[in-house]
Amino acid sequence: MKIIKVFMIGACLLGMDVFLHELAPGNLWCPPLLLFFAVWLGTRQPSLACLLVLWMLTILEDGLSSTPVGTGLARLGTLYLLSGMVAQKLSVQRTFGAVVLGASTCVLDLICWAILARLGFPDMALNEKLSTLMLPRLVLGATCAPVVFWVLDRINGRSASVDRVSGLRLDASKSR
Amino acid sequence: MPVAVGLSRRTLVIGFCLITGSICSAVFPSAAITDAINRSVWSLCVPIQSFIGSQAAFVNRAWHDVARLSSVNAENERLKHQVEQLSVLQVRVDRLKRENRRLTQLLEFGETRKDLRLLAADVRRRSNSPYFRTIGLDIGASGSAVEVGMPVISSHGLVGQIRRLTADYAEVLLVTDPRTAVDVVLEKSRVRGIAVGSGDPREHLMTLKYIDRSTIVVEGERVLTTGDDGRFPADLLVGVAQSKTSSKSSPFQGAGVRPSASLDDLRAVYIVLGTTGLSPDGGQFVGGDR
Repeated sequence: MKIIKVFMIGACLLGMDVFLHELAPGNLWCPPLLLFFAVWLGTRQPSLACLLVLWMLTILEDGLSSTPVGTGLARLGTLYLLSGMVAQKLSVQRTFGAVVLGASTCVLDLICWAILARLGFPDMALNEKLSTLMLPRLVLGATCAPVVFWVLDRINGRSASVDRVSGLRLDASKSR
Repeated sequence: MPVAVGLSRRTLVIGFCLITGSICSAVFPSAAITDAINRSVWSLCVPIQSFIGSQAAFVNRAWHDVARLSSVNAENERLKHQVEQLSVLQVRVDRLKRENRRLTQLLEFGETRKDLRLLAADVRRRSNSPYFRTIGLDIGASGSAVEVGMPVISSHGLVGQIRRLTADYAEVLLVTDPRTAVDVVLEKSRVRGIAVGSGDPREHLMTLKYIDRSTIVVEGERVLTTGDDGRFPADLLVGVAQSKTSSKSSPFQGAGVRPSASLDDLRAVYIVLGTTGLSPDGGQFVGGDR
């Protein structure tokens, strides 16, 4: 049941993400909600089931945004695993941690995207695109990510079970 | 490699494999299997995407409508101001149209009466007495050609005659003034009579006098000048006959005559300076100046 709930939350965020991009096509200031979801999932629910949920969602994202299938998971899967590793070093439940995490994952996402583009689409004018996207993504990551994490925590009802000192989930500690 | 809390080695390995596969799929989209996956995913997502797209388009339209509403007030004020300006302009246009129509009629009338020497003049004032009916004409530089007693006509018919003159101003006694009498004839029956101004304070009317009792006066019959009184040219339209008025003691009968010229709304008239000796259509010589 829990994993279905996580999938539904992700699907809603994906829907909102696509909706926002349809609403303002080409707008650089649309928040990458699925990216925030992947990072949130990596810091709160680092499990194989969640990775599979993310895989399904990224396939849907690729389909909905008409990009080659696999692009989404290559970026977001990497970030999911990285954020899972970072979570033990950084208190992502605190605002500062969430801001840093949001901004850095947005930049990392761009880097992943650049590597992918360099491998798969060498003709693309990458430098111009990256420089255009960098500032909006940094700002969006720093401002929107903490809000999205907070909302997702509330929705998932797991905020209470988080150790605010260590920033790690209690159930995750137990699982270790 | 340090393993994060909650990230098992199994998750990492599977994750790594999935990511590698995804990179291959993204980098080699034209491979047969990748192409098949791409096509099946897109065909699954097209209906979802079109649904989301239609909802976004709806929200977009609504947002633009709301944004447009915010400028409606300013636009409304601007349009109100514009409507006021246009109303004023419309009044001026209507007035000019009426004036144009009047002047055109006057001009056309002048063309139909080439037997008369005509001088156009603007009406400057009208008497406010309910019993005496006069108007004032601006005769300007042509004042020297105008004399007392000259007939005044409009495109619709006889108006009156000059009563008094100054250097650039002429007072006209209207045909409905009780001091005016015109020798007239009914157009069809050729019955003659004298049309005298009634001095009616409510409306412009004349009374046709001295008609034999045996004569039948047809309502609506046109009343024309005879020209025999030496003051008014012949065949000028004076008005139309109305109901008979007679008393048993009188040997004559009378009839009302409604002037054909709209005397309440005169703006420009012709003063008849004399005759040209031509026929009304200007073709035939019929004699010298009267």
